[in-house]
Amino acid sequence: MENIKVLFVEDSPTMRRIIMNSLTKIGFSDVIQAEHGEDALKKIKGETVDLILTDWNMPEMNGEELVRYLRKSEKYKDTPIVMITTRGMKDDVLNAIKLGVNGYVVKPFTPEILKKKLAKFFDLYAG
Amino acid sequence: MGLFDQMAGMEDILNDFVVETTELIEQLDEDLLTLESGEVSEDMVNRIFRSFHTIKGTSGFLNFEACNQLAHSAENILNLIRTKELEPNSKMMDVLLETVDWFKGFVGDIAERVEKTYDISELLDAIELNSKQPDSAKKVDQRSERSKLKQSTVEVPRELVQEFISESNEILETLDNDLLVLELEADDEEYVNSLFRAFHTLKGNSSLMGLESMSDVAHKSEDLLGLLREKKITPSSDIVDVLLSSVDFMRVIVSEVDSDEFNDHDPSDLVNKLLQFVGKSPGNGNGNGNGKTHPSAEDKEIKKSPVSGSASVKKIESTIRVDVERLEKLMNQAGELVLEKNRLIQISQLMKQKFSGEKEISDLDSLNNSLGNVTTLIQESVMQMRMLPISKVFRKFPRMVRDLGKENKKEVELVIKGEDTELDRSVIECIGDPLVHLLRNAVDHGLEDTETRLKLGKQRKGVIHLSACQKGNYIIIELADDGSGIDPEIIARKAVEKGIITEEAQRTMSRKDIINLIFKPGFSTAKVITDVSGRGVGMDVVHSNIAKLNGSVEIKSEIGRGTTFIIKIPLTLTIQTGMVVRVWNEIYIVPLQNILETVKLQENQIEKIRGCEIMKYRDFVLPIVRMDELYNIPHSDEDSDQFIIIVANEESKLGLVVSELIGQEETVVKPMGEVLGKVPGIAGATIRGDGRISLIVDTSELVEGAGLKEVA
Repeated sequence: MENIKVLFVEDSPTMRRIIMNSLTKIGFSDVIQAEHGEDALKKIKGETVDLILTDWNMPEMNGEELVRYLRKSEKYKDTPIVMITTRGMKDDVLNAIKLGVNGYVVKPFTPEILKKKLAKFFDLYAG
Repeated sequence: MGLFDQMAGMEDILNDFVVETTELIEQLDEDLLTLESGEVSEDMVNRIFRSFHTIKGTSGFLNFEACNQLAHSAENILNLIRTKELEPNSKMMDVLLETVDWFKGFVGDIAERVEKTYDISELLDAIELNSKQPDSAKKVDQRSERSKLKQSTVEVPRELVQEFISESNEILETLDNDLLVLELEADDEEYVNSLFRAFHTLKGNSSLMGLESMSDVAHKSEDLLGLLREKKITPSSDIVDVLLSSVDFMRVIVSEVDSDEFNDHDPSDLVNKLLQFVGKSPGNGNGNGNGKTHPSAEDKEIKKSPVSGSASVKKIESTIRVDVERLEKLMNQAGELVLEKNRLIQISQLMKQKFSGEKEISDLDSLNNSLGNVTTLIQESVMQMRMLPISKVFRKFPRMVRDLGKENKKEVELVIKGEDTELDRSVIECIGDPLVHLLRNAVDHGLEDTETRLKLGKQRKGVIHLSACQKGNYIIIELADDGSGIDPEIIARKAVEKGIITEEAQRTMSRKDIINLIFKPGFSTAKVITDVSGRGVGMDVVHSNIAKLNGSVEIKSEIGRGTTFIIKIPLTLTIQTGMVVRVWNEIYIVPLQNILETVKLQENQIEKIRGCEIMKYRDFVLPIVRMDELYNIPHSDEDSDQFIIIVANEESKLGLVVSELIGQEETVVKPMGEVLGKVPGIAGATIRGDGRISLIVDTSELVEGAGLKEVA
């Protein structure tokens, strides 16, 4: 898991800390954190990330715009993107799936739920 | 085990929560008021939505259930406003503001780690009530539609009910998390099977509990899943949508089933929707037979959101949070650095005298210069770090003024300018209370009620202008109301009545000095003591708080026109450049920013008028204060040459007589300590290069004092 580089986009500092805890617990150690879409794009310049975890409702550039942008690029057209959402945000999720998001996870979630979600893309239970 | 015991080790997260939520609350207060005033912009509604959304998200993680529920309900309203299904109105804002107030209290409890049980049912009902669209033709939310008929539920043992609830919740949770990828996973048989099983289980369980509506919904959903499983229909977002509605519907039932007054919900709308799909099989209009799940026609439906960054190009924040204590430490260390630098310069001077001409001495000199530059830069950077925009303080006021206005039945408009003006952290902390007092006074005493205003031919709404700006080394805060103004005669009479001044003294006082009496302790002219303006301690506090900051307050008032308070505060409190002066054998520091110029004293130019010494200076009369007399400094014999330092505040000047001008020095202002408190005429103390302590002269106080003496 050490070799999986994760981009994690979330505007709330509290939430960032909580979800970072989960990611660490699952075993991800290489995580780029960003506050919103624009910040994310800036921070992954020159990097190659293997998994993108993004909140949807954010200032500046929201999840929708970020995913749309990433899916247009050659580099990130197939990278797994998991959306972080909350209950009641049905329309957002449907929209996200149309845009090419590969999965989503509903807040609040435990590290185990997140792990299950991400296990779709990587073999997280090996070893 | 209490909530906070479970959270052991989560201190950082809790602190984050408190800080972030507090910021969100402040923003919400401000934004909701703007929304109420009718300025509905998409950006703003989105921001309010996001604020509630964030609170909902974080509180959900932290198991703050009440907070989570309230945020969720508030978010719902905002979502309806966002989608233009709901029009914001003042009642709705009242409820939302009340919700924000609740958050305030809650965050306070969390900050102090107080664990409470909260009853939010009333507030939730109020929110619910306000989220009903007035236009019933608009689409009805199935969840909130309560059916009137109370269905007979079979008597079921309690443990079974609990078991049902927990199992159903578990299933519903996974359904919520899994249903949306249905479109993507439709080819995965095992996946569709598991969804089918989930609905099947829910159907069985609810039927067992006698929950017919739920069983009905689960049944029809199961049918739909069956068709999907047999590939008779292809999943579309509409299908996912309706299945999610089923999940929502069932969740509501499960959450209410245990309450005493359980009302079953009417499932007919939802069942009809489900039947639409089941009846229409195979294919649902856009099915193309090969099981592909992304009809291209739908892609066009994706809502286009405006590209961000065009209207509001804000600079990207790349900030980190730093503990105030650390910053405070850094500040003190920067201060110490200045002191050490001063010492080094002094020692270098001595070395120069001893070894003048040596190469090392000039090296030392240039080193001292560059060290001085670096020190200054460090100092400035640290100061910069401590600066906060005054909006931190101002943003609370619109809400406060709104509430005060409502309480007093006065219509008040608060106009704020210059909220970007930056102030030192310590100043920000002290300036809040005085401004609150002044604002309360303005609403309570300053502004007339609507009736009176109309009679006087003024506009209905009273207006309070609050502004901040930087002028040189000072921050000027002005608070002006267009109310009745202060009548000096009433003030004078009251002051005499209350024994604050004698009648005789009153006759010789200027209009300005009389108005300034309102700052005296124990002075209050309110006819009735109200909740709002307190008991005559307010203005006193205003004056002393601002004096603590080495600032001054000036009042300009015109009867019938209104009152303006002008507060002037030095930009920084801690490091100042000072003029080092000698008064006989003692050394004092005079803040350089207050010095206009220095002149040589010529005793024959000094005249005495009514016991006060004055000197003609340029075109006007300058009061003279001899520092040795002021501070009771014993004379040594040899000196005779003396200087006058002319210091000034914005309106008066004063000449200070000293023995010698020594030079300039960076001084780190240290307070006099708890025991002494504020010493008249002294702003603080500093440690000089030679390690000795010198007192810093409080020039603004002296100038003010001299002004009073002049007329006395």
